Amino acid sequence: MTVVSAISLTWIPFESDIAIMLPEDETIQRSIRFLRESNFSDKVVVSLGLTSDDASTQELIRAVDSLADRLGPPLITKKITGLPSSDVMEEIRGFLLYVPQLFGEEQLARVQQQFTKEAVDARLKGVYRQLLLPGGNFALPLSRLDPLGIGTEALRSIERLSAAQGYDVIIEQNHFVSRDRRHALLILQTPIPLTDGMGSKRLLAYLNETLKGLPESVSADLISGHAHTVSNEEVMRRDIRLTTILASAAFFLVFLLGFRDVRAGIIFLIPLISILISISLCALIVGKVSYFIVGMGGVITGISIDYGILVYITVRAEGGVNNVVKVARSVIVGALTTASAFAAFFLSSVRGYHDLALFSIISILFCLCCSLFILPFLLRSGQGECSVPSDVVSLPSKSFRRVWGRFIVGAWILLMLLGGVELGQVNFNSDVSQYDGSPGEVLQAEERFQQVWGSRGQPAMAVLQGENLEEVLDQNERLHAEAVSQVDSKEFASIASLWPSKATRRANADRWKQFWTPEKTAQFRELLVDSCRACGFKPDAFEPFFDNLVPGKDIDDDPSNLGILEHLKDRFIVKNRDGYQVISFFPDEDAYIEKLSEVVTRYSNAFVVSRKALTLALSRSVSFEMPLLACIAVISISCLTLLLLRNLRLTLLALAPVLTSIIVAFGVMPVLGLPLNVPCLIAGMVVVGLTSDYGIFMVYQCRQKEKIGISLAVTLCAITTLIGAGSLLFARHPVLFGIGLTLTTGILSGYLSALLVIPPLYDLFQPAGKDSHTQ
Amino acid sequence: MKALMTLEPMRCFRALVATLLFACFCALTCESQEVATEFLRDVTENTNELLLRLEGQMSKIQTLQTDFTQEKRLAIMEGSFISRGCLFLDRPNRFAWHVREPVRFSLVVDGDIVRQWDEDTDKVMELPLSKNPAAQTALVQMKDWFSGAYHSLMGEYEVTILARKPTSIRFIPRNNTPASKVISSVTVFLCGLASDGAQPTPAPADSTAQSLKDNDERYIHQIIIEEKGGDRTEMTFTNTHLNEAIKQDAWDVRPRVQ
Repeated sequence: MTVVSAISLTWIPFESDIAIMLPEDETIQRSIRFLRESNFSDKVVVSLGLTSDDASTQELIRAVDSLADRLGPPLITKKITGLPSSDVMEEIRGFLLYVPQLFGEEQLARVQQQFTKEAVDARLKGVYRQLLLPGGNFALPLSRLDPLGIGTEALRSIERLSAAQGYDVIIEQNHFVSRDRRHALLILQTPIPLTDGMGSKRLLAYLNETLKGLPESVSADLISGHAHTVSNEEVMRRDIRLTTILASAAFFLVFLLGFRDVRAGIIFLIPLISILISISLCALIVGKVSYFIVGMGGVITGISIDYGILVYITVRAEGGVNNVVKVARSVIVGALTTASAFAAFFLSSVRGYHDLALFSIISILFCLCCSLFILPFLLRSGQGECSVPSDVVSLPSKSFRRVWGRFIVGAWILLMLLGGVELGQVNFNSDVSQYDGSPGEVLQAEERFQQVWGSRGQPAMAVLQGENLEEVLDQNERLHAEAVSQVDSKEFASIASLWPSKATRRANADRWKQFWTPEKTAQFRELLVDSCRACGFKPDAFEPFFDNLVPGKDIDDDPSNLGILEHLKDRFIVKNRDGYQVISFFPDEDAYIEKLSEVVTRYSNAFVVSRKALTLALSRSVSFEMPLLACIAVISISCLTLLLLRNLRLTLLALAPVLTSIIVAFGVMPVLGLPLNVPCLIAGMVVVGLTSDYGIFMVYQCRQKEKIGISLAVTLCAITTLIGAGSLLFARHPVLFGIGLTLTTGILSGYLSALLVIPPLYDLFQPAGKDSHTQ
Repeated sequence: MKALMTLEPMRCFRALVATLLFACFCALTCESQEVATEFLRDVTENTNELLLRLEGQMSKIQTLQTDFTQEKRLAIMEGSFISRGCLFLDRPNRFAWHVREPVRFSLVVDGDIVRQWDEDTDKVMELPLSKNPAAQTALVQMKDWFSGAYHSLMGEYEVTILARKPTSIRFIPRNNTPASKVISSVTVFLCGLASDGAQPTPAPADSTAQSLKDNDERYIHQIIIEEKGGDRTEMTFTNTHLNEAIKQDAWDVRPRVQ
């Protein structure tokens, strides 16, 4: 079984996706699914900057183009350096031909208002003034096509929708350039999903290699989720390697100093084998094993080893193998209470917790069986001696307890009160970004990016899903109208403001034709010719306007030749396997989210995707779920403890280390300035399971009176667990570090309270003469 | 032997002539060494080297103030459209274009802000540079041509040296570049003679200084832009001052022209 499990490690798929640690809440999962399936997360943005004051924007643009030329399939499928066409004027001219389809009643009313001599004069004088500037006549073809600036509104929509990318850009020579003209953007699309660790690594290596070809005067920052995937995986791997080495070395030291018995090696082998088997069984049952779960391996080793140590110590004591029977019940209940703490995770809505529970329970049960049924058999067959006498750690003497007992209990109560006060100061942090263990250079590059390209952050999105594009576009128009009635229209970027559905465009085109009657056209021509004379323009200077007035464009004509429009449609309309998603962007701020979440509830196929909303939903889910799970864990542990001890007072005594560990582990968080988060809560529940064992064993020892080395066993159990948990304090990844801190403080305080507080409390609860008992 | 006697004086004579010719050549060479070096440089210096040299010289320009005459021949206008005024450039991001005639008009770009005034509306309009494409184009045009960074334009333009003294260069946009959609050619005349052979207008203050400027390749005398549609713009610059402190009021929109 062990060999098969070891071999299976080579083909087991491991994952580092943090999403498995998120609740199955519909809002959260829908947002995560959307971000996964849409192409937003599979983009890499390269921010290029000039490093020398002498270097020009021209050089920068050349560097962008050269870099874009060198990048290509299979890792890069699309490259965007700016506006898609090299001929912006031609693009705009082409777009203006669609204006009749895009103008509704409101816009036509505004056109009507311009039918005065003053308005036409003012417009033509504007064209005249433009000609006073060097290069002012470059825009003349557009002015001739649209002397009234009718299309300006549509062009502003293009500009606003382009800016909705979340970057503060200006367009220079068709490239995305920063306002200081010293930085340029290159946006890349890749088929590598963020969750693909190996693919992300290949992608980054390819990009970094290509970036080496940049001139010395140009530097580059890579901004991408892939960088986080790779760096998180690297940090996690490094942490696992380090913690494994540290834990192994410490275990070896404990073995060398504490046991000096070859057969004791079996105790250490049992949890290692159990981990191997647990990984394989988990992979068999759930398909994939998360690095987070494996990261808990060192801790699980500490938990599972306890039963072996207890059996080993009692077998080495007077009475030998027969002692196993005496401690069997406490070991079984100890294992069951710990398993029950993990079992509570099955009630969680987070898939990662299910995996953790499965992994832990398999490991614990395997260790329990080995400790009770295989270990005694192996220990009996050989000779050996524990180097530490079983009474080296024993209950404090009666005289000591008489003198110091009340003092210790008083100090413990004081500590609990102080800890309770600190516990009230704990901040719960549900922001998912705290689980990001990316190193400084990745975060610094992102900070530089924010400084150069604006700090508005990623916008939130309102998403409409449907099978038929025209139907979704139609709904999107209604959603847009409702949204702009609630929030600032300039901040709600929707394709509806630029490109409505076919039905609306047809209605607009008909309205346009009705508007431009021959009489009205003649009247306008007359006005225009008069103004032309006043400004020195030829009478036919603006004839192109009339040439394009009536024909417009066919409704069914898809303007795929207009790169600007296609570029925007790519961003606002996403095709997926279920049909189409039409996306609108708005600032990820509470006021917008609140109002627009209300608007989208009126559409069965619409939802909001926002980082803030995601955090809020996560916080809501966790704040409801975690106390429930904690209650279930505490109740199950209490019931099992009561089942063993069959005495309410003793049960309360056995739970004293549990209370201590919770108050100390979570009370220390505000003292260290750290927030409480979900992984810490999970670790807290593990602590509850473990310290309840110590309580049960110590109460058992107080009742039993026999010197079979239970105090020593509990001490060794705590040490081995602390080795596993303490090694996590050297982890760089915030999740592993948080878990390590909670476990270390919780186990240490739980152990000390079990050893020092339970005996005097036992004396207080069970006066002399009443402590004799029957097994 | 007789034959030998008659041959010897001939040889002596030839040697004498050769020596005299060599001496004359050496003397001439020494006297015109400077001219020869310049001639040699003109012959051997290729376009690349010339542009690099100009770029090196003009990169030292921090400020520029000059009067301009702009003549546009446009398809939509009857006759030539001539405007006169002055321009100021303070690298990297300050630019002012003040028109005196035919109408008073000012445009000042200061960093990311554009301020514009005209006598007709008598209003100052302030906009971000990114929202004013006309100002962006004007700024880019002036910065590109006055920066002298012509070498870096070689990727986008095909560059031809039309003349050496005074230097004139023609830039023709390469196919499929953004400029190629609008511009047919841009010709830049540096110091000295104008396109029609006339001398640039001398500076009224100091003729010696003007003479120096005539030989200084950092000074642009004229720019001619020919567009695809047949429109043509000629900008002639006179009374040019480089790297001199620009008065603060140059960056004010209204007071300057009132």
